[in-house]
Amino acid sequence: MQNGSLEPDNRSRTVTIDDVTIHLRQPDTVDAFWIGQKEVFRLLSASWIKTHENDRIMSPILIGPPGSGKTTLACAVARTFSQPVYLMNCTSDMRPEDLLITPLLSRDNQVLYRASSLVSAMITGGACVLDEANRMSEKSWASLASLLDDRRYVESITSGTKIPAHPEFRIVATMNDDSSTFNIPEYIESRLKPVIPIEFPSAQELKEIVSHHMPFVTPELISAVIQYLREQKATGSLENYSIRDAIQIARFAQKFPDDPSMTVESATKKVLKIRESRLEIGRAVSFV
Amino acid sequence: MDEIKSWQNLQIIPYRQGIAEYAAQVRKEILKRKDTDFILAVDLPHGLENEVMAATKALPCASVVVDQLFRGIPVIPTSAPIEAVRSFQESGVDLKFIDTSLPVTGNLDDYRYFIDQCRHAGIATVIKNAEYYGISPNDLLKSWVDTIQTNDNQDGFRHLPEVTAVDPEAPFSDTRISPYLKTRLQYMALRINELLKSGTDVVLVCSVSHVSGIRYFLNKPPEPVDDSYVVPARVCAVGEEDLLQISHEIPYFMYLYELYRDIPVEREKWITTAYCGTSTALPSPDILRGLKRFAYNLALTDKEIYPDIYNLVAAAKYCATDDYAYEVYRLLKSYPPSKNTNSECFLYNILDYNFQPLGSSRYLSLRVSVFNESAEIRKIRKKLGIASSSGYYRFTRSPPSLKAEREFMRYMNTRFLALKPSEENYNVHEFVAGFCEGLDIRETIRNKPFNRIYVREQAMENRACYVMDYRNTPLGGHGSTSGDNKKTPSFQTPLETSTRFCSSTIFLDKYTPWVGFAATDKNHYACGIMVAFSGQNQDPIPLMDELSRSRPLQSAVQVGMRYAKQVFVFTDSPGELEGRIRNKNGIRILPTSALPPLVFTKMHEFDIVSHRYDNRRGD
Repeated sequence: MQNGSLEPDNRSRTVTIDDVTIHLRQPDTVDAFWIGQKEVFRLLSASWIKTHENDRIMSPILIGPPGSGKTTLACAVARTFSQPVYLMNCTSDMRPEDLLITPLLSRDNQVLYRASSLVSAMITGGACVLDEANRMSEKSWASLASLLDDRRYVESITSGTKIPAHPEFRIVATMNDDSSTFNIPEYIESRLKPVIPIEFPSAQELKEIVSHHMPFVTPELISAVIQYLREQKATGSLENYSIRDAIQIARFAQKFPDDPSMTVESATKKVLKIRESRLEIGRAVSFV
Repeated sequence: MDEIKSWQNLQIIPYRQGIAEYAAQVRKEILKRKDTDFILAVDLPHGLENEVMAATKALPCASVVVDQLFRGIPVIPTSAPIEAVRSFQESGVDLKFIDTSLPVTGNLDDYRYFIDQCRHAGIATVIKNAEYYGISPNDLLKSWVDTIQTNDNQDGFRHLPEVTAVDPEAPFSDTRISPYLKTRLQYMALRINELLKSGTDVVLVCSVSHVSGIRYFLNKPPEPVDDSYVVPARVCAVGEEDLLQISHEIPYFMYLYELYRDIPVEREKWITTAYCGTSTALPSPDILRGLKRFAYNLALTDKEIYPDIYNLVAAAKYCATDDYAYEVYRLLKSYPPSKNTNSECFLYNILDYNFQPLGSSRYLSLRVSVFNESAEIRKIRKKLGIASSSGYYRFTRSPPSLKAEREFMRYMNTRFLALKPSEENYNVHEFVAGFCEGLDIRETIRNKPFNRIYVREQAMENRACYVMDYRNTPLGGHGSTSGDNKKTPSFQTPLETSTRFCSSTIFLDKYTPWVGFAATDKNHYACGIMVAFSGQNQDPIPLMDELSRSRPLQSAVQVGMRYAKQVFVFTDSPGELEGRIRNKNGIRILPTSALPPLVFTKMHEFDIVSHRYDNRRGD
């Protein structure tokens, strides 16, 4: 770089670009492990492969129902690429400067420039996961257009700098498969390819996932929880459930090993806040 | 060492079944030796010469030579041994089949007994009643399973013959292979030895998985094998639909190979041709570039250089659309010479002579639009018992219709307003007097060097709703995209004015949420009554339930009142609302002439161009 160094100083985690010192964030510590659905793992890995120094790494989107493991998948694949992971939760009130660089006042009344997780990943060559990216406004997306095409940089108006991405920088956006996905502008959607759908895992995979997260819970309890959730969904009592729900119910139920009143059914009702009447209706429908 | 010396006039050309590059290499080697004397040996089963020759003569029509044990030899243009047979037929080089049609058995003694029984009763009877004939089914099974387990792993860079070249020093152990494979390898080595003794050069076209075994047994004097029993086989034609069952090669590439046999294989060009050769739904060049790159990356995850049909279609699906992926798939599986051929046998259970599947078996589901349902899709639907109207379709409007909506809303948003403070958006401006909604910290910090303070003020949003009554408007207005040459649409709609053009409930959600009634004529829609919600991001689908087809105007106004601050009703039938709307606060009824005719008719009619299956918003 002509006007500064892009090599981050590991101790202070700062970098100087165009004479502006930017403070970087630490990567997230995630212990992600992917179970089942090998094909989606392969798809994401393939989109992140870089075969040549001039090759452009693709920027995929993961789409799936809430709690289907989109973020976990991204973290697990980043791990196979030996890259630090930077998670960025997107919200509807997120503005372009939140997405890139935010000015802060230091104790000595100086302006500090704090890089977001995205920019930190860009500078250090990490993998950035834009979680729930469909919630972002068009204005915020617009600031990423140059990053997602061949230009591979972002421009921070706040700090007045142009920040090029590290050659090993990778990005993935995760989105819920619901009506809110229409918010992404078309010019951004065409840059976010491939679009990888994640299905809900099978019963066996779900069992393995829950067992992995809670090795201290008996397989019988895990099976009972999954069986119960599937039954409730089949009868219509439960509209839907996620992997997270199954883990939470199993975690809650195992806390009361000696309480005979704490069945899988009651644990489910408590965790998912299901009212009695809703389950009753479901039962009645199933008898009809 | 004497035996090894005799290998000097043996050239081995290893191949992988069905891949065009290997067939091309065989052809190149044979053409190179055109004017020399040599024997061409191929690892096809001795005794099946007539069947293979007949099937090869019928090329480019694809077929398979199947025996009673469901072992098959695919006869396709890109098969290396078949290319050798074709060269024999074209140039008359000396050709020998050196493999044996040895049936599955436990060991050599068992084999001798087994073939005696087969000669006597027929192989099908013997296999079916193995125990009756004193043959252990477990031994049969073991022989089969061992063969599969000990077969060399052929994965990785299968399109690169130069990488496939077998290392002569590669270790080989005859204890790790099944008696079935061992006997075959011994037999092949024996036949090669016989050919080498003649002193003529021998060119051996041989599967990669056999090379090290044959080399190994060439050094050992093999036991004589009785090869007089040949498992009966027949030639079955293979239809275009089933070609993927008998080969790892892409059928369309087989066709291209057949067309340009004397030109080196240019798989990369073929892939580009496949992606650009679809008749419809071709994506933009940028997306095409991306999906091609993705296909190659997918191939790398399979330890391959070039993508197979699965990866090519998967890349098209995930980077473009399912419709495009389906078009690509249709092109890739096409093989014009066998287009009108029906397969003459059931191909799903057929394995090669090493008991490996002949074709690939990965599955990908494609959700294809059925706007113009093809005969093929209709057949599948009928088979599965799916009514063609089932499913959840989304329609895509034509670009002029979408443009008309934007222009219409731009006009309405500037002239018919109902402003309400926004819950999310703020305007930031420099502090003059009053703190409004408080300091804007970011802007204040950003302007710290200039010592300015910035404050936030709630932004105002237009929360109006527009009810458009088109029931009395003549068709063919400005909003229609019908060109001069198009026919005037004919709608089946009641003469009763109050429900005219209200036969279907529809919604639009590409830019602005709309809900209302319309009549359809194929791809053309004429609106009856429509409600548009300005400045709101709500899902219009649930609102459809609140509309009533018997009293469309009244229900539309009620829906508008529920969700908007002010409802502007543009109708020439205001009498329909008299006495039916209790609270008229927030409703403003205007004649349709309050809008310029060009603006009013913009949303009157629209065209749709395609269907899609997902539930995402966008039209």
